[in-house]
Amino acid sequence: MTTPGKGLDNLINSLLVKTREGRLPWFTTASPLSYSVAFSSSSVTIRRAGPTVFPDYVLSIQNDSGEEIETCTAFTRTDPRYSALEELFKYARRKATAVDETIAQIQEELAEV
Amino acid sequence: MAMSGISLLIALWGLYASCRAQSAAEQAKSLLGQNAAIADLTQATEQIQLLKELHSTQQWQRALDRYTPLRQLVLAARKRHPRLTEEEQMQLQKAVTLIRSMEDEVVEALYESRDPDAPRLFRTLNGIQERLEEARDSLANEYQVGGTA
Repeated sequence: MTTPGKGLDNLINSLLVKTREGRLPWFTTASPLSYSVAFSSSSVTIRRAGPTVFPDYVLSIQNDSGEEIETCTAFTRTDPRYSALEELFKYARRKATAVDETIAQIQEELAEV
Repeated sequence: MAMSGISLLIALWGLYASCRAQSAAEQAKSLLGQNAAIADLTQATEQIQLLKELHSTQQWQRALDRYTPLRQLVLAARKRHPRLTEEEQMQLQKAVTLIRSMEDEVVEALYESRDPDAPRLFRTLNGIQERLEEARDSLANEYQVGGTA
């Protein structure tokens, strides 16, 4: 059995790897600066909160009823999870807002002008 | 010797008939579950229509009373249906997550004495409606195939 903290660290790492590869279908939620990805009976949400400079990053896990069952918050850069959550947030936002596809499409149309 | 052969045949026939009856009962149960799940999702899409009206008239307190029953309908559909595909389960989980995020957003806005972001909530409701209608249509197709098979 893995310790709770270790399990969460492994999960963050796996999410980061798969998100970087563009393999997770992150989507926007009703809350601004909050992105989720759904699995068959659970979801993971990453959100940014607090100040604009050095904001907090919150990762939460929801069960099949949408109830939050685990939360992990990184408040400061000294937190060992901060940089991973910050990177996860950035990639999740890019995927959820389809920014890369939009840029590619703009480039394509600009090439025809 | 001949008698024991006949007995064996009768026993095998009985076993075969029993298996067929059990299989028919399981199939009927499965079809009933599918039908109930379709009814739940239809009701859920009706609730979304009502929520759109409540949001557009800024009746946030009344809207707050509707989010949990909506989530429960989606959950009921998931539990009743015996064989959802992984994709269908993910679509319903996505709907549940979006409903919950909408609920959190409205609660937070009311707590902070500000108006919830109505256009954003409208987009979210549309997203949920899309997910649920896709899931319902997919189940309805399976139901028709299962019912005519």
